[in-house]
Amino acid sequence: MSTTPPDVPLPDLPLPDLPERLRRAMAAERADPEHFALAVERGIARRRAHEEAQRRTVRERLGRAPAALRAAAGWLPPTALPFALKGMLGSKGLAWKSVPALAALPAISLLMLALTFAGALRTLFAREGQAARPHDSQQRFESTRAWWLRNRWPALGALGLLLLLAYLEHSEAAVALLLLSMLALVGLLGELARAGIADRRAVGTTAGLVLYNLGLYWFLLRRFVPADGLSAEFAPLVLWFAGLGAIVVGRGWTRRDLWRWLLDPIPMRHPDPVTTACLRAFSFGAVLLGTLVLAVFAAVTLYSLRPVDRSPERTTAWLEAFDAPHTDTRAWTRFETILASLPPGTEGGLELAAARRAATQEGPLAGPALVVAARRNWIGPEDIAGAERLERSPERARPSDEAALFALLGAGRLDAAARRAAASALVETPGFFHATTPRAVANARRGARLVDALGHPELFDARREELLEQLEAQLPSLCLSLDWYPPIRSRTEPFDEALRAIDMLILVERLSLADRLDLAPLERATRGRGEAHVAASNLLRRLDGSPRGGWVAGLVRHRVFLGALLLGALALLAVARAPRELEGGS
Amino acid sequence: MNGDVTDWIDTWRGPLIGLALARGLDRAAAHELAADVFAEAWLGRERFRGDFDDERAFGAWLGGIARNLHRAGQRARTHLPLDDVTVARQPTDEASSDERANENTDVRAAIERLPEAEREVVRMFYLEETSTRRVAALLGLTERAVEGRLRRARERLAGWLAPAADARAAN
Repeated sequence: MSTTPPDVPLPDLPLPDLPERLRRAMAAERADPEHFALAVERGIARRRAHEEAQRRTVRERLGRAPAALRAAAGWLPPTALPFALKGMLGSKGLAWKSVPALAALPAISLLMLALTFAGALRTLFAREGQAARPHDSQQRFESTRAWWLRNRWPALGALGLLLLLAYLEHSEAAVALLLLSMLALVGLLGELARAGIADRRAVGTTAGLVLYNLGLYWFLLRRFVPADGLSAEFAPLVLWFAGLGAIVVGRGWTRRDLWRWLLDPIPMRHPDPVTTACLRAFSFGAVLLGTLVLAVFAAVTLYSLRPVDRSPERTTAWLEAFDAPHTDTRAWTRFETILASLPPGTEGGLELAAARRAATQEGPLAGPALVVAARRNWIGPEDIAGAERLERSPERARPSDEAALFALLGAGRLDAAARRAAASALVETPGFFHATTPRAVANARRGARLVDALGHPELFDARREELLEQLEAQLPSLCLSLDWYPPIRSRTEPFDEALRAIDMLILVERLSLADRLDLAPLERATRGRGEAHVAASNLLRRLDGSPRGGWVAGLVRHRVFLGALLLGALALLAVARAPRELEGGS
Repeated sequence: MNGDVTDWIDTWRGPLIGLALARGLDRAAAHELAADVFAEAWLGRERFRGDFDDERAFGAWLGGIARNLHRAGQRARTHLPLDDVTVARQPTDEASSDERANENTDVRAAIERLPEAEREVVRMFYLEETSTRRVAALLGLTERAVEGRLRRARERLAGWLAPAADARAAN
């Protein structure tokens, strides 16, 4: 270590020998080097003895702890246990005693994986001159490796389950699983602290890191999970701040320590022991496969997080550029629904030449393309089979005559009496007001438009209360990610939650029900990146301002945020109640 | 140096004791705290992630341990007892004469009058021979900041002490 010579006399000051005077004055406060070195040696010996006594105590306490806690200790991350308790930890099958630990496993596994990545990143981004000594972290390496060797397959299973849930459209189940898992972990940490096995630092560090990871996970998944803005935007912040709080309280940090930790993470040039330990617990092939899976996961996540243009102009531009062949029923269903989502009165101003060209190409028109063509007067009644019959007998109109009725209306071939007769016939059709499935909601939406176009909105308004009940019953299917459930998913037409949300929102707007329905669950349907999602998002924004139902509805809506608050509070409580230091004697 | 505790002690003892004194500890308590810092650092050396030869990183780490121990001591009022750590034999005051004793008393009183930030660096820097780099590392400051504080402290001290020195010389 280099030394710099002390200062020299300062001739420009009125007292040039000031440094010498200062040294002389402070001589009485100096330590005798030999005695001081002796004191340090004694301090070291005393601390070693103290630590050994602590280790003995922890082993004894763990030996006496309830079986469930002993089983759990083998699953807990090395950060939670103060010492390497070789020979005392290990998962011995999946007995009922392991249930609490098993419940905590997803949160623990996610933490271990995140620590591995964090170590790899620190190693990768290390700068010259920030080298860690290779021998520094032998103990961390040993304990982490032992953990992976003990628990690698259950941990991988838990991580795989989380990934699957997240990407098979059950993100909320994944988040719920993690929240419950974290609660189990906090409970275990509290028990461990109460049994005198883990101190405040260990509990705080573990709880803090897991909260931080849970916040990160929720941050990535929030757009795929039905949640209100409070949960989507603030739950990660709650989790991160609670995590930071747990670490700060656990370590007894001051504000200065906190800033130092935040600003100077000290990357390492040598491989991180936690990362190395994780990698060495698996074969090369398994590591390669895992890396590939995670790379795909990361790529998909990054892709899904790129910014989205959600302006109404985007929807308009998309509609004006639409030119799918009229035989593409799915595309035209989407086009027709999104076109219907525009604010009343704006549809006429669109320039839909491309769609018109596509619709009037050769071949028989049918389905949504036919309806759009009839509504826009691209075709006349003579182009639609049954239009003439309907003109003669409007009282026999059925919802399936939608295109013919629009064409007749466009051609001015229905007088007032005919329009009245057609509208009455429509509303009396069995099932016309049965918005009891997502598809029926779409039919009701189209029926409402037809009855309005026929000039008799009062016939539809009369069924307002009935429809309100049906729409309320429909909301959970969009709210709870149940779109995989066969009765909800249509067998003939792929379920598209954004389109169904648009149908529902148009009906809500048409019936002025925005102040009586809690539309927050529909926010989920607006978070995607597709045109339908953007249109649904604009429509929802137009209807904003609806009251939010009772307190139970509020609890359900804010469940993720409240869960995060509860979790953060419990974790901080567990940290605060943990002993500051483990006792030296049992 | 590479992790040898005796090298650590030789290099950092002075500024660490100075730091403890500046935090209001008396002489014995300051020595005890400094010895605690070395014991703690030695046993926890595996937790240090920097290079032991990097004075800035190592000093910052030692400074952190000192602050933690001081705070823990304040909280619990119990350091791990270092029973007979009268680390110091009382050094003989170099000033045997009354005049020199009076001069030392004046200087110590003047140091006490300094603002806390300046008093801190003066005690750390002058207690034993050390460098501004080490003082800066322990305090988490830049060398330039430490040099600035030292310069201002010297100017103040020279201004306060010069008249008394002149008077003594006139007598």
